[in-house]
Amino acid sequence: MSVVVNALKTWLIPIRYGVERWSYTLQRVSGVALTLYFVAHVVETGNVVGGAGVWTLPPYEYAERVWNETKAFLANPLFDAGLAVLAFLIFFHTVNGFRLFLTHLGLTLGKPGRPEYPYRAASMTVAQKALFWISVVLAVAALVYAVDVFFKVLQI
Amino acid sequence: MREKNLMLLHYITGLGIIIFGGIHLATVFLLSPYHASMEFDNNPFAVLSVYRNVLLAGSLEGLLVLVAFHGFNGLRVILQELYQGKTYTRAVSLLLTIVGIAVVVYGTRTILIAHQLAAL
Repeated sequence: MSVVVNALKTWLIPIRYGVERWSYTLQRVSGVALTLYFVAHVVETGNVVGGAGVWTLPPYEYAERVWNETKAFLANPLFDAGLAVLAFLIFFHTVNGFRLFLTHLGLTLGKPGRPEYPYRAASMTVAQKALFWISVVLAVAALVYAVDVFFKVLQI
Repeated sequence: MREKNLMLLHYITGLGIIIFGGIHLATVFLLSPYHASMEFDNNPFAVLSVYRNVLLAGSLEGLLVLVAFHGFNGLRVILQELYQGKTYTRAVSLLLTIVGIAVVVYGTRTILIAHQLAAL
């Protein structure tokens, strides 16, 4: 069990390591959160046709009633706040994932060299760092937009 | 499937999700106000209107399959790095494959029935 605990500690506590560790932790946490949301979203949108018990064409009025009940259930500030956080996670995961895609192809990486003080990672070039911070900025923008859509505070 | 092919698919599905996810977010947030997009069926971007359009319904099916693979493969990678062992590896892969297929089947059912419902 201690192996698992140590692995979790390394993943979930990114302090003292620099932005690449933060990007790693955020990418994993956002990925898990988005996958869980995806499952919930497929279940939730299943109510468009009347819920889990419906496997043949249901009456139109029945499906409409179930969907409106689902909407009433989801009209809750807590769910809206959750969606706003998800907007942040989606944009971070997408743009940072694109950075990882470039890394995977070997693009935008620095040249390998002798490890010398202060041991800066050659892979974290200006382009890589810029993409990380762009992902954070876009994620914050998405968060602000989502808060405006769901809570109508800013009226952008 | 071998690990390198799974990871190649992980990156390809990731790029695909940018396109299909972009279409999905655009239909819900940009092309019509969010609260109008949540209506059942009384405007061009209401829920059933999206399923009525073959291209949009098809893009939702594409998004469903891509996100299911990308998400559950991502979970598999994380669980795989957390602990190693032959039985554990097989159990994780099998379990996530079953859950992933179940989600795709359920979502496909929604899309197919909603498309028929929208034609009524």
